[in-house]
Amino acid sequence: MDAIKDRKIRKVREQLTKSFNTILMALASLLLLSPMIWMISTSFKKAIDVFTYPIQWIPTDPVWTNHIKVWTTGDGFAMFYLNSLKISLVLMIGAPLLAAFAAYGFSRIPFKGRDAVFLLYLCLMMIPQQVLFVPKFIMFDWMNIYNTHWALILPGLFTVFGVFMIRQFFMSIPHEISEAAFIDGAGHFRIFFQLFLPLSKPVLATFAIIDFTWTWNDYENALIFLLDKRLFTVPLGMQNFMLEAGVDYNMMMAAATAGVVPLLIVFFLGQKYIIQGFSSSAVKG
Amino acid sequence: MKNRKWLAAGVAWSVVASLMLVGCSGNGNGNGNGGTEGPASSPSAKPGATANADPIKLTFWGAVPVENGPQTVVDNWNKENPDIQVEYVRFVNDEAGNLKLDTALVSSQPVDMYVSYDYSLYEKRVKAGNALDVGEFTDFGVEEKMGEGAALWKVDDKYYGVPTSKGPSFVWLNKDMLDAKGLPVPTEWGLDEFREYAAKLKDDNVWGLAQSDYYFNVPINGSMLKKSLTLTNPDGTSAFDNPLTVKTLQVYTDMMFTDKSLMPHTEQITSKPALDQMFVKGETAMLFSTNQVFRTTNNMAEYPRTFKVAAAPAPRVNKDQSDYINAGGLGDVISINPRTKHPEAAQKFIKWYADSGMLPMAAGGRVPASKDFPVDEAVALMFKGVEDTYDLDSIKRVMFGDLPLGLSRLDRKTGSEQQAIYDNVFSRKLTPEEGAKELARVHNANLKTSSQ
Amino acid sequence: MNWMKRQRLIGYVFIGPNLIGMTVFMLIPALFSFYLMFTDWVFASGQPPRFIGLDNFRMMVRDDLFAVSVKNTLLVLIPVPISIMLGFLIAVMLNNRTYFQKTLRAFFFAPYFTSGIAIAFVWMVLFQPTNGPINAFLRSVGISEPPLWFASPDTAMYAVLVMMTAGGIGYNMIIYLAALQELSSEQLEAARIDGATFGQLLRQIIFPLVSPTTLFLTITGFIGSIKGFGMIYAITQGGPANSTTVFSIFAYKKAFSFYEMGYASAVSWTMFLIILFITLIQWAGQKKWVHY
Repeated sequence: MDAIKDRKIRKVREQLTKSFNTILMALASLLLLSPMIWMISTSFKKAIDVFTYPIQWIPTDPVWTNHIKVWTTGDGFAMFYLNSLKISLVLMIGAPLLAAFAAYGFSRIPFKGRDAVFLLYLCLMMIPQQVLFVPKFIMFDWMNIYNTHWALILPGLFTVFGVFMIRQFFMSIPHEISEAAFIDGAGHFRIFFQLFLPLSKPVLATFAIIDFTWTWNDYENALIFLLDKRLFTVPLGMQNFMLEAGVDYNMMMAAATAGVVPLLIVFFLGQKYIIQGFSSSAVKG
Repeated sequence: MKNRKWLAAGVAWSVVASLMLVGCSGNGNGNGNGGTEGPASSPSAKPGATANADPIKLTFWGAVPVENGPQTVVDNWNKENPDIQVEYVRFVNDEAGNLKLDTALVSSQPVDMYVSYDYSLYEKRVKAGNALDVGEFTDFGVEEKMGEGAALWKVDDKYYGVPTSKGPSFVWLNKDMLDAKGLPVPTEWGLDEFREYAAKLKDDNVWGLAQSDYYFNVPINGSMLKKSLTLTNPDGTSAFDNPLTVKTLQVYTDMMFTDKSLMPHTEQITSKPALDQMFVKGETAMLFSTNQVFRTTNNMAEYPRTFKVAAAPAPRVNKDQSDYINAGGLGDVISINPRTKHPEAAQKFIKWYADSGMLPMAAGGRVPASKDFPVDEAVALMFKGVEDTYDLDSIKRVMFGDLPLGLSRLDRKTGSEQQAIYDNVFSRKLTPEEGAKELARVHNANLKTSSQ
Repeated sequence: MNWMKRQRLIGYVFIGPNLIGMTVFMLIPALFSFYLMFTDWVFASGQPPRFIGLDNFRMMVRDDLFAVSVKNTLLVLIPVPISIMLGFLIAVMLNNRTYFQKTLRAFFFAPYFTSGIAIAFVWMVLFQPTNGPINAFLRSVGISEPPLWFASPDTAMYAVLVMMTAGGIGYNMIIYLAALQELSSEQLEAARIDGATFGQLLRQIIFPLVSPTTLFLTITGFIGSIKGFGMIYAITQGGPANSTTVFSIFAYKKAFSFYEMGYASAVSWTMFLIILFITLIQWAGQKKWVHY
């Protein structure tokens, strides 16, 4: 009797704690969520209602006009959207593959000079980007890829972060697995393509999602390296709403809201991979 | 086995190799028309155009958003000139946007014409050889067209661009609020009167005055402009440390912290309120800004207002000051990139733009500078349908009056470094006297480096 | 061909494609900027670079922005551990200790998707001195003169630190959440049978388990914190009165506002050295607390 009562009490207490935690976390998350709420709500506001205090979290008089205007006026937001999709998708597929290939070399083939090269990679990650724009510009212009999408795609294919992340994952794969394959007569290439790539689907997917988000939101590279309006990406399209005397917030937020959609789709499709991917890569430093 | 191994490696390597190759040949053709990239929206070939199959294409870079006039301008031109098709490219007139333009100017990509909005950047572009001497075009005398005010844009005694618009910075007034307090629309005033107005107009939830970021440098610089465009003394040292600077800093400090009629400066720059909207919403009685506010005050649909808008000239430091120069004058200078393949076509466009083409820009408050321009038409367009909501007398007096106008040639670096000093003065970390000395100190330091 | 040479060849075949890409798109531009820091080159000035030795560094240490950048760069290290800790606690909570876990995770991760301009705007509004909710709250609890936050050179940096702390939580949370998936239910059950408190569980089981993740997060966190500047720049442009200028803003101003590429390179490479130093300390210290 008592035991059942005990269990019941414990269960109720657990439920209470859990409910309390849920409320606590929900409140805490509101702070981080508030910019997104503001972004969406502002996209439905009239210009004159943007700057009211206190903030209107739900527009009193919501309008669709901003969303319609984003897609119909200016230089063609739809075209920017397609350009962004194209670049982001190419990189989402290309960057993880190239990174994985290198990561295998850095983690599974012991050879002289390997760790020195990897150290150099890590150092490259620490260089601030702002001073590299001009050197890159000079080089791209010389290579004839300035003002083409290649100026974003080619450099985007090679990332330190991706190599680092996937390398950590490969290092955590037990050596017994590849040794068994060696004994069967497989070489490094076969092990990589037939064993490691399928095994590392989660980490590849995770990195692909992160890379997609980066590319999608990349403003500065696109700004400096693209001149032709027909090549512009979504972040460049949003500049249209930076007026001479300030920001047209309601229009810009309508554009930003439209811009979030692909990120959310990619995130929700890959959410389970994110969990698996990170867990496997981060454990074995 | 071995074959497959090398095949695999070959695949990965060829990805890189082919990407590089494609990249290198990427824009060999179609320079400036988007290379081989993107869904090429074919340049709008006008029906009925008898022109040759291959019209000249020009790109024209400016900082005015496409919808606020430029699109109509180039559409009009393209309709009339099927053989010269102009495309407008908008850049944001901030640091990154100007870097983008300057990058494009030195690249192999075509930027045929561009607008400079600030002397220091313009001069830099000229000195770097990125602007053609427009004096070489014989049928267009800049000064003859634009008046003597154009001289501001001379570099080494030559014009490397055509200033196209004119206008002063001035004070926008909510006439209804002035009337309610029995205050007349000022025709000339100094900072003391300015402060008095602000204090009287201030109310619950209404600021007496709002002004664009760092506009307190307008009276300060305006008091020195007559001496020299670079704001220096005859001996070449900085002229900033003078009683008028001290007074200006003092008056503004008092407005912010004693009268509380003006939002403290640091609060403004870090909360970035939309000043034009504050004005039309009646949250500030006066707004010291530029003619760009017309875009908002004219737009009654999005920014409905019930009050009349009037204008007053920018305040001098002292009302009786005789050597004061108002901030403003000729601006929006269009230059031609020496790398253009079609300088004559560009010249033709600029001439048309300055003489009549820029009319659609007037709706956004840009007053054409050319004497050949149908000014009445521009004014009519500017106030079309909303004439009744303005006190037109005062607006015309201020915008088209004969106030002495000018712009300083203070270098960008000094201007930028002085912002930190203004921040300190208006956080009351420096007294106005110390502030004036500091303004002069950073100016002198830069004068010294640039003379080396 | 002996085994060593063969390994090396295969190794380079694997890292080769990436190595070439990195060399072309990162290393060469980096080396170019390394060279530039010894010159007085101004971009788009029509003048070629002129070698001036270490003059840029002499100029830098005398620059008003240098001292404040050093100070602020040290300050921006503070949010990193705090935000890692908070991210960790939230991850523990959202790992079977609440309802609606998936939704809440997405909520915490939301800033990652949100337009930076929207985030900057909301922080500006939150810290707004006269109308903002934070000061409204402070006034309601009897503080008559609450701080001006971003609007004062004395407090702007604190507001920045709060913003940076919050900014990192979601990302840290999601990575910890992943690491926590390794926590087996047996371990938890065993701990419960032993009557371990939650605190003991954290200290004895969870901390060691996630320590490699923690190292990963601190290293990349410090790098990101020192390099990142977008959000600060969007709100304060490094002001008021330069009070929120960090090295990356210092370099950005020199490079983007004044095109002083030589000087900007000197500033950037100084910043690089600071990052390198901090990373090496962490790398060396890991033996003491990271359990593989």
